[in-house]
Amino acid sequence: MNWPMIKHVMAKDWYFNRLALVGYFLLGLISVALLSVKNTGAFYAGAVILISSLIVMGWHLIFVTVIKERKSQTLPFLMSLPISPMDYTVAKMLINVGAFLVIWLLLAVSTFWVILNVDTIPNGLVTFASIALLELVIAFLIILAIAIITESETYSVIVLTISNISVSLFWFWLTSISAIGSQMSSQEIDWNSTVLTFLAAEIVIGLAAICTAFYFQSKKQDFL
Amino acid sequence: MNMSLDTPNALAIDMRNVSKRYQHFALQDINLQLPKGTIMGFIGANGAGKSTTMRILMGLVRHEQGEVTVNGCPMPNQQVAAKWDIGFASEDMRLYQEASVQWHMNYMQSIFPSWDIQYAKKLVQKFDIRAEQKIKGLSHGQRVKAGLLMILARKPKLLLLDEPTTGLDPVARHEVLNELMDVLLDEDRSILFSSHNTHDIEQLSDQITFIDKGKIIGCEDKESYLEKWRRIRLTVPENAVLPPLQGIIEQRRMGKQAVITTKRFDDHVANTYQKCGAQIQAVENMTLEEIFVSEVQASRNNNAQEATS
Repeated sequence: MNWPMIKHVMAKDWYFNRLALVGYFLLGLISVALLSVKNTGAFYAGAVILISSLIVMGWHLIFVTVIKERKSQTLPFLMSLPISPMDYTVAKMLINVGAFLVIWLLLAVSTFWVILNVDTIPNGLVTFASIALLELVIAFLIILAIAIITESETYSVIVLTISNISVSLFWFWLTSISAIGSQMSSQEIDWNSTVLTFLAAEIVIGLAAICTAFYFQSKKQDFL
Repeated sequence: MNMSLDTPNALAIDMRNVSKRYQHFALQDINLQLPKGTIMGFIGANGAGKSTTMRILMGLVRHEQGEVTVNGCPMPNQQVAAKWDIGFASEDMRLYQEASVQWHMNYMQSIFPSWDIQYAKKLVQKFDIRAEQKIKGLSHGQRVKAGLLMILARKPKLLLLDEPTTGLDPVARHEVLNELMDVLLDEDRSILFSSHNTHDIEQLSDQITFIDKGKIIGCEDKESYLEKWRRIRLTVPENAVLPPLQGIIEQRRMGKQAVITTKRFDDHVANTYQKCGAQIQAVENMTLEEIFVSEVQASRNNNAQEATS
């Protein structure tokens, strides 16, 4: 693998996204702060802002680093550098997954801290929050894979829309599963088999999305 | 250069029997050799296959048949090694709108040890660009020149330029062409320059290759084209029959007047017509554009005849 050039491509993408990423992180922190306010309205506002900032951050990253590269016709410039299509794919995957996961992890940890330390929020919410927050990562990985494979704004927007609708429906469904839903009002955290199965399935789907992107990229005959 | 063209090291580009098929277009049996230190003009109409050929040379489009070697590296497998010494610019290439010219120069400098800071500064002045200006604030001509600056200051051994002067005003085109001519002062450097603007190619190239509908229909050095191609205007007696000489591309007769286009003009051609009773009114030189158009029409006529027979 051509690591020096992969780093150059990642550095370029970091340069163009760094301010926006800091902004999304700060927005995420504000939402976590709202979660900790002992007020139902503030809690819901915080949850909505947290989820929205993660979804929008993911879409922003994918749009600027992958779709815009094709749309703004900077891809020929990038590919004129000494990189192969596979180097390009590795670089795009790493910068997107890396940037998203770092901020997601910081916000997830902050969220768990709030859940565990604010009296009015039941500790049992941790399991639901784990599955829900991990689902945002999975949705991000699927959209990223589609964007890398198709380089199409249209297809990516379609998948983004479907995934956003699915996220709400999925969470609604989660709350109806007693092994998960019953914990949302409990002080006990129960990492039962249902919760662990959901988490494992999400990780498998996420890895499958990454592998699918690499598989289709390796089969591409034309890169420009 | 003393090296034989059979020596791989003597060729910057070596394409042998290269084919690539799409649903509505096919690049067929392309053979293209570019000796080091030469500029080849690659002329074709829109959709002829110039860009596809260039992208195959960059390793960004996989050919289905044949062999492609660039600077001694088989493509696309060794594209990373090859690209260190290839400067590629295409009409549809853009720099990053939100970044300045200076940012792009710093970026290229961080990648390429061969980046020449002084030369880059010289080009900024020569091309009348402000280094601190963002790309989105530049005019089209300035953007094209900024893109060329990014590859020229790297000093690559091979430049692949796919319609680089399209959309430039005459002054900008002149600046770019002059700079490309300077590149060739280093005899190891080579340029493949595609365009449908024959004036630019005529000004710049040593060798000319014509491509049409995915096939190479002619490849010679520029001087040969300009020396051998002629339009002959004749006055011919009513019943005289003009012999079918080799190299005749087109023959038009209107009464006693005849216009012959040949790609193999010499004294023998003139003498043969005179022996048939024809009087030569004029032997006209042809521009590269006229040669290109005639070659394309002849190729298309041949294809049509082959298809019907």
